[in-house]
Amino acid sequence: MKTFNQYLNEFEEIGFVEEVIHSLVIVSGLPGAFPHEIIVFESGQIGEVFTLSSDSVTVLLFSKESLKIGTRATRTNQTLQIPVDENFLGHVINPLGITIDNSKPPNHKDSQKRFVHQNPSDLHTRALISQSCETGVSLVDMMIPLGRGQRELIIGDRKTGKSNFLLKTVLTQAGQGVICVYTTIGKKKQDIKKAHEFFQKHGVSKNVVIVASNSQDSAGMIYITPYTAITIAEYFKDTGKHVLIVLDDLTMHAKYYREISLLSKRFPGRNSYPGDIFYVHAKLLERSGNFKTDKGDVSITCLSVAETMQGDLTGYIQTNVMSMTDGHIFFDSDLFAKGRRPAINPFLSVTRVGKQTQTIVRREINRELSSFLTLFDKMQNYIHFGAELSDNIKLTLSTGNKILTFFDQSPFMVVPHNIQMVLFCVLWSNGWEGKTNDEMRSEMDFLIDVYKKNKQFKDTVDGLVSNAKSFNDLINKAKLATPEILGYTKK
Amino acid sequence: MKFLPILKLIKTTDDVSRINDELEILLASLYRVKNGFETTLKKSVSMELANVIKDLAGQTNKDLRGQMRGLLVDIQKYLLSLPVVKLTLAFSPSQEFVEKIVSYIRENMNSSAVIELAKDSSILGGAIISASGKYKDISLKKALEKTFEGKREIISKLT
Amino acid sequence: MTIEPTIFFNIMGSLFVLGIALIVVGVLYIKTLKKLDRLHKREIKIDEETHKKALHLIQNSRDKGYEIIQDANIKAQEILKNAASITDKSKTVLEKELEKVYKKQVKDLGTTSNELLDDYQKLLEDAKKDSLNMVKNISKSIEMSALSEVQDFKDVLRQETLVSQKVVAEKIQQEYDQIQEDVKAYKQEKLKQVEDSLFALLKKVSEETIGKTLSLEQHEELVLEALERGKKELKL
Repeated sequence: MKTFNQYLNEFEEIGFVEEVIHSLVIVSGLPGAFPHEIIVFESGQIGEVFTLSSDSVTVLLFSKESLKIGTRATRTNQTLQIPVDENFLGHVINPLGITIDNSKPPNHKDSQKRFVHQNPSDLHTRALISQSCETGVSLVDMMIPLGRGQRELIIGDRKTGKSNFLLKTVLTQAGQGVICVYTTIGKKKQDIKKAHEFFQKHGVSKNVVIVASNSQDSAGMIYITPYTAITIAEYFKDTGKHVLIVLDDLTMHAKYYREISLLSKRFPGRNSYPGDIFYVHAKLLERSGNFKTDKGDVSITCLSVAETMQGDLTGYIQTNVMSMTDGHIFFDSDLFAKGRRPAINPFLSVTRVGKQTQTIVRREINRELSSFLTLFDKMQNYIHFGAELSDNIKLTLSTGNKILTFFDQSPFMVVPHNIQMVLFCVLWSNGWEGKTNDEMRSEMDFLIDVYKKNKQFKDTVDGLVSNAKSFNDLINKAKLATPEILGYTKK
Repeated sequence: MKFLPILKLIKTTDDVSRINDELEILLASLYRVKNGFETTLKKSVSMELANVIKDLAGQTNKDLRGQMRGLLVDIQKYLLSLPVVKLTLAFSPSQEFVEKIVSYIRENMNSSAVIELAKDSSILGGAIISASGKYKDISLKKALEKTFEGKREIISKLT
Repeated sequence: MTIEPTIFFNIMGSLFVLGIALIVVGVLYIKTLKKLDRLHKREIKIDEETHKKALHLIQNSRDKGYEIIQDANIKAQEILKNAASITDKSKTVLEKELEKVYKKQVKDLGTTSNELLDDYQKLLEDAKKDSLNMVKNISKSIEMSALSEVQDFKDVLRQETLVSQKVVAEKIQQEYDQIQEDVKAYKQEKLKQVEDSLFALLKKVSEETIGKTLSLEQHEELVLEALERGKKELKL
């Protein structure tokens, strides 16, 4: 970036700071300014044009330090750009592309620069979503499957395990070579550090970039965070790599945007949010998807987070984002209180495009599970009556409880697709009959670990899944292989 | 047009703020019994301004307090609306020269402009002009820099 | 009162019978006592006799035992004597036999070793002759090939030396050129630095001079010129 005087002499337009309102600065002059243009101040701060009026410009500052009245400002004739290259991988950066972790900052001398505010790609560049996106969480992969290029909303109350789920998904995808952009919008510094350490500990940080703005940053910085993240994601997509972007969370982003809009005296709408709050999120989420490129179909999968209050899914921002995304995964605080982890309510969760990426067998499992769990849920209401239960009902209840135990996963345990299916089939064919749920769970955990470490076992499981033509076929094969599979728990 | 006599009194932004202060004094005196408006007009403000106000009041028959107040506030608004041309010079100009500059600007650029002068000897000569958000560095320093850059080879041969 | 005679006779009769019974019992009792006494004495006697007999038996068996032991001792001594004599005997026999065998073996060995030695000597001589021949042949061929190789090597070395001399010379020249270039670049850089600083100095001096030498009129003229230019370019 050039100096203030260089820009001043180049564009020959000057402005003077007339008023400072938190992160907004009213600058008189600058007749040629356009929306989102970068304005440079004499004191070195930069900001973005937020509002234009006939004789003044409202600039959204990116720094926390305030300006003095009368400070000169000049235009740069460009919108915000950040350097993008592979050197970002493994680092924590701020929305201006500056490294903020303790490591040596990467060299961006030869990097490409990209504009942060870009229009989403056109319709003709989009491709159908056809590959599945593994999260490593059995409940999601089997009942609410995701596809690469899908935009899925992770919604729920605070402290219901949403961030945990996201970290697990990033771990799974980064382990498969997908580039992950993990965005924290206005979070605590401690949470950002924990996420960074988590990725380093599990050895996936070489595929992960963290774009972070903490709660102490200015509103302007927090506002542009997700746009910077999606710009970085687009760079990696253009190099032919699949990308997963996590936006945690959009309700916080909406709150800061509301603050900025109200301070700039824009007219408040519903819940005091500005009228363009939908557009602010839509233009962001529309930049992800599955794209046709010269390197084949490449995707940007977007997992955005929205927080609810006491499970209220009908909130303004929540419904907005739900309508922009291809489904949502609902984290129920009641289920969390009951001890279910993850506390996902599969009946209130939706995936609009994930099922088309599933194989026939998985689809059949999904169907079977959905109908069974609905039945199980209904039956749970009957047992309150205290009537004597028939054997059928008892079996259903027992199987249902076993399935719920199967879906419970310890925090950071990742379960690959194939072992999920085989374990489920073993369960479905009463492979764990006579054992308690805890015994079954510990054996399952052991087998998942064996799958990851023992090549022979892995080949057996993978072979079972790949050779199965239908769910019943897989069940039969699993039934026959059950002694062999369970035999590993005794070794 | 109406306030042209006021404009004739004003050359620089210092003049604007001085006249604004005098108008404030007049406004404050409007509803006083002791040292009222008439007294203040005679004793506390400059003669030129007093005459102008009397003329303007006479033209529009603004004897009544409320209407006089309106006139004074209008004059204040007019003063605020005057476009400001900022000039940075390398020297402190005489009053005569200031008037020359103002008349030049009013004839050639904007008929109701007032100038804001700043001194910066580092520009060596000429002026840096900024008005309505536009900025132009027409200083001697810049010209020298340009010359030096343009004739760098020749100069370096000399050294 | 008078007692009837029958009753009196009855009583007397009973008394008489009782008395006789008593006498009989008494006699029997005495007899039994005597018998008992006799039996007792007999018992004592039997005890004594058995005791004596037992003692006698013990004594007899002891004596017999002693006899047996003595016999056994004597026999053992005899056996030992015999054994000693046998061992002595067998020893001498064994020694004699061994000596015989030994002498025979020595003789045999002597002959075989002589034979072997002769054979071996023969073989050695043959081998020596053969190897000498072989060595002679080999060394000749080696010599030939070595000579030719040395010659080749010399030629190659000569060529290589020439080539490498050339290469080295070229390399040196290259390095030299590179160094020259580096020195030139360094010189130019330094010159440029000097030039820049001189330039900056010149500029500063000019500015200072001009700033101080301009008169008020000249200043005013410059300002008006600037306004003239500003009028065209700013378009207020």
